[in-house]
Amino acid sequence: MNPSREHILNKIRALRQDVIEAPAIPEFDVAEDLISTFKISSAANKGEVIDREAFVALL
Amino acid sequence: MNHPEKAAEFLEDKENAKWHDETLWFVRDKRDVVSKTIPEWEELRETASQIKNNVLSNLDEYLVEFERNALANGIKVHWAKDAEEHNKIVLDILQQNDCKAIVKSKSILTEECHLNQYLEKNGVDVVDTDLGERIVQFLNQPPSHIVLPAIHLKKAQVSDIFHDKLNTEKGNHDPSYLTNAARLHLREKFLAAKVALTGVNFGVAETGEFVVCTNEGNADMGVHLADVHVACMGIEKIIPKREHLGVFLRLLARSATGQSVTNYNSHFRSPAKGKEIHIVLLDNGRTEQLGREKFKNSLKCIRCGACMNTCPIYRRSGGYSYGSVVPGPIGSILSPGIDLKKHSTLPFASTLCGSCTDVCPVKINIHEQLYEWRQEITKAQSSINAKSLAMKFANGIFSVPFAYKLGGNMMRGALKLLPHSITYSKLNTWGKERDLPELPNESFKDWYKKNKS
Repeated sequence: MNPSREHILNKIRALRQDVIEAPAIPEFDVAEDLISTFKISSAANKGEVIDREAFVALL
Repeated sequence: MNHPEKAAEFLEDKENAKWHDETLWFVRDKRDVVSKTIPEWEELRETASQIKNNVLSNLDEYLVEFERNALANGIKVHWAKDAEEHNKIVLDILQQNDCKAIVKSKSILTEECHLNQYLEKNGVDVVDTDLGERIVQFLNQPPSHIVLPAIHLKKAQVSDIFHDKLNTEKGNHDPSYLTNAARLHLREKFLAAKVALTGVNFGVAETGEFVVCTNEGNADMGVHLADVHVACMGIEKIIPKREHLGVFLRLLARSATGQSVTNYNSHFRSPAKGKEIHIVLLDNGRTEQLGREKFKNSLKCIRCGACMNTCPIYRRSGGYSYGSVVPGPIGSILSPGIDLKKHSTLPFASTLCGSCTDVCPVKINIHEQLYEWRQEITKAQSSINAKSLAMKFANGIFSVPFAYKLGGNMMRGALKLLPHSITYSKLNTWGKERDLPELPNESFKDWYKKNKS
């Protein structure tokens, strides 16, 4: 095992003992925009023509 | 020299100081305009803040998840507990690849580790490929701003530097001409480098990929031409899921430069055939900061620099006055955690106006943390200093009504009679930039007694 890896993780784990309940990740809708962005980027990577206006509108 | 001394030096050139102030305010203004174009801006900030809260509370799990997925993708993962170990890991990778010259895109983390100096001492030529970073590298200076490294230099100064280093026409400070000269110069370096080094803006735990954001495409150029890519990442740069980039990328560009999106948001997931990707995960005091309840929020920082652009002190004192890798308000809450003695003046380099907190895309309570650091520093410093003695003396006077009345009468008389050289002596630092108010002939209490009807 990498000693620095264990050193870092153990330090963080020791701090976690004080945390009673970790805050949750909130639900949000804004990521939908990015998922669409990734779909467009992915399409572009495959050589498909994308609608520039639609892409810019997402940003 | 401490911050006030360096700031005073910066302000000696009044014209330059005014230009610096106005230039950064221009960037701040752009940020305001573009952030208002999306109605969910405040929702984005709140969401980003909560995602980061979640990350900081589960950091060990996300790091392990990131490592597992990165390894599965064929990325080699290294862990460094401090800057020394980080630099050694990078040098070992270079030596294993018989590499004597690297190209590097902007990475504040490597500035933090003083990697350039370390590699150069060990016979490796390091070329910073971000244009601003290359300019300050020619001057052997560090960046003065984390996003705009050469913001303290005017184009005429850049022209002189390029004339000296790249043999451009003397006096030609046309930005297109200078940029083209830099492109030609850097192109040779890109083509020759076997190893390219980048920072990391976001590491995605669920996929083991990482994202590097640049406006010049220099990270991509370096990485795609080199056989080996070394990416250096602070452990706090983890985000849980790829979809969270939808929050952070939109906040980052708008907050940093007032753009709707950074020109290049490059995702690195696995090495191409015959190539290598290494990622170095660095602690270097971050776990200590995580353990400081009042200050751990500072680890939410995405290094956009918005707090610098808005800060009246940063704009009027320049990045170098802070004497730390990360200057400005965020640097003033990060740096004391690294070296309290060296950076003890930084939390006082603030008006506590709260503008930094207002613009922070991840809602770090920067001005409150600055105030907290002031208290920590006052406690840590020796109790015998001029300010604490003055406060003790004042406490003695204010707590005894007779002493307060007597002191007031004496000072009203004495200040009228004492010569200017004494009332404004070097011991009176308050009077350096201020004039005493006109002294009344009587106290308010006496005036009230006479005038109450």
